[in-house]
Amino acid sequence: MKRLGLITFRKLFKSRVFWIMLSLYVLSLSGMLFGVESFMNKIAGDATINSPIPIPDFSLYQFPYIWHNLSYLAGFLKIFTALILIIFVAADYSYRTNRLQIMMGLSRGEYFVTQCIFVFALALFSVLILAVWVLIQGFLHSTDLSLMSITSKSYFLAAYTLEIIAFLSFALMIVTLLRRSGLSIVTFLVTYFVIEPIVRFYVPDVVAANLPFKRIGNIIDVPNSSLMQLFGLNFKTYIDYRDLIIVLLYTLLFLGITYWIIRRRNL
Amino acid sequence: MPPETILNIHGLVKQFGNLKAVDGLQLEVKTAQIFGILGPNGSGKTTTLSMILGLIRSNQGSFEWFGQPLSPAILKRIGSILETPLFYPYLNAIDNLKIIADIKETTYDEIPDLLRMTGLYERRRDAFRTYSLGMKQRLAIAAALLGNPEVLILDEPTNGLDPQGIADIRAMIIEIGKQGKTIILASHLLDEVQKICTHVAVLKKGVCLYSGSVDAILSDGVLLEVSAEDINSLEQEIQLCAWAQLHNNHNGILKVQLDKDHTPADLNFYLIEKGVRVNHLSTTKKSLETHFLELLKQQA
Repeated sequence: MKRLGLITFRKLFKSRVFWIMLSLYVLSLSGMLFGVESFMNKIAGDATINSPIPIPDFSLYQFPYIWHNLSYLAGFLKIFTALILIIFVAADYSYRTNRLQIMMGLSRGEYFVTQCIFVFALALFSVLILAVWVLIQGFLHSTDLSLMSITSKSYFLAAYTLEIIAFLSFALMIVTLLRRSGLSIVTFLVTYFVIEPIVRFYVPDVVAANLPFKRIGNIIDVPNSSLMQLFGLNFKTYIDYRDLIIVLLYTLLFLGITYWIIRRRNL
Repeated sequence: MPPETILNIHGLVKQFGNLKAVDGLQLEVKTAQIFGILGPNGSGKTTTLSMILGLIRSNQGSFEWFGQPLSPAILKRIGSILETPLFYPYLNAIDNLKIIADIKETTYDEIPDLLRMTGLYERRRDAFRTYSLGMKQRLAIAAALLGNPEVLILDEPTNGLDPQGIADIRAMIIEIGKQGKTIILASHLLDEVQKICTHVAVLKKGVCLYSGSVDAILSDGVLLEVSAEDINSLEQEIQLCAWAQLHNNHNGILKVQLDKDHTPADLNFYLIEKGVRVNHLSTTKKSLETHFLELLKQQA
C-alpha cells in the first residue's frame, strides 16, 4: 500500500499543473469559507432596506452549527476535485503510461488501487482544509466554547468526506471509460448539471430522489439558518443514515465498474 | 545441460475485427538467445509482444514464461520496450525511473549506473519532454534494465533514430546480450536482425514463415557470382544445369544458387566440360535480406 501511494505521489508532485489546480482549489475554498458570512450579511442588509420586516444579522460561524454550514458550502466546490482527478487520470491514458506501468509489472488491481488512493487523498485533503477553517472561524466567532458545543456536529465532516468520495468515484468511472480529459470533463459536467436534473424531472419521485447526484447532494442539506426559517423553509439539520447507505452503495458501484473496465481493457 | 526454455508460445491467435493480426503463432525462445522477430510493418510483431506482456488478450492459444502463466511477478523478471518510449513528460529521468523501480519493487541504487550506461547521466535532472528521440529511447532501455531482468523485450528499438543513435543502441543491445540475458528483438530491419540476433522468426501477416538460428538460415544454399567472356553460352549452360539456379544477370555477372549437395568446384568442373571458360567465380553468403524476400515471395 505504501508502495502504491508512493507511485501515485511521484506521478503528481512535480507537475506544475497539479499544484496550480490544487492552489486554485484551496484559494477558492478558503475564500468562500472565510468570506461567506460577511457576504451573506451584506445581502441580508441590502434586502432589509426594501423589506417590510427586518432580517436579523446572523452568524454562520457559531459552534456547533458551523460544521453543517461550512460542510454544505464546501460541497459546492467539490467539482474542482473532480476536474483534478479527471485531468490526471486521463494523463495516464494520453501519455500511455498506464501501459508502461502494467508492462513493468504493476497488476491491474494495483493500478486500480493507485487511482483509489488518488480519490481518497483528494477527499482527505478537502476535509482537512474544511476542518481547519471550521476550527479557526468557530473559535473566533463562537460564544459557547464548551467541548460539547465544539464537537457535537463534527460528524458533518465524515458526511462531507463520503460526499466527495462518491462524487469522485463517479468522475473516476467516467474518465476510465472515456480516457480523454476534455471529453470526460464535458460528459461529467453535462451529466451533473443537465442530464440528471432532466431525468429527475421525467421519472417518478422515488426514482428521482435516488439518482446518484441527487442523493449525494442530499447528504448535507441546506443549513437551517434563521434566514431560512424566516422564509418558512425547513431543511434537515441532521445526517440521514439512508442517504449514507445509498451513497455508499453508489460509490461501490462506480468503483466496481472502474475496476471491471481496468481489468478487461486491452492496452 | 540443455538451455532452459524462457518463452513458449502455442498457437497464439489475435483477431481485430476481420483482420487476423496473429494467426496460430508457434515460437520457442531459450536462455541467452538473442531472438529476432522479423517482419514487415503490420506483420503482427507488436501485437504478439503485447499479448505475451499481458497488455492485450489473445483470442486463442497460450504462452508460458519460464514454464508458468503470465503474472505481475513474471513481468518483473522481464524488461520491455514497446514501440515509442512511454514516460511522464514533466518528470526527469530519475523520477521516471523511480516510478518504475517502485513498480518493480527494486531499489533506486541501480539508477545512477543505468543512467551512466545509457549516457543520460548529465541530463538526468531535465524533464523527459526535453529529450531527443534517441535519449528517450535510451531512457526506455534504462527502464527496461531496472531490476536486472532475465529477459529483455525490444520492439523496434532503433526506429526513428539517426545513424549514431542506431549504432549506440545496437552496441548496447549486443553488450547486454553478452551478459547472458535473453533478448527478444522485434524489427523490420533485416540488417539489424542479422547483425544482432542469434535466432530469428520471420513473420508475415501473423504467420511464422521461418524460425531457427540465423547461422542456419544464412548457410543453407551458397550464392555464386559467375562471369565469362562468352556470357550467352554461360547463361545457357547454367540454365541447362539441373542443380544450379540462375537468379539474375547483373552487368554481365550472373548470380547462381547451387543446391545443397553441390559445391562451387562442381560448377567450375561442369562449365569446363561444357567448354565455357569462367573468368570470375566467387561465393557470396546470401544475406538475410535475400532469404527474407524469398520467403515472402514463396508465400505470396
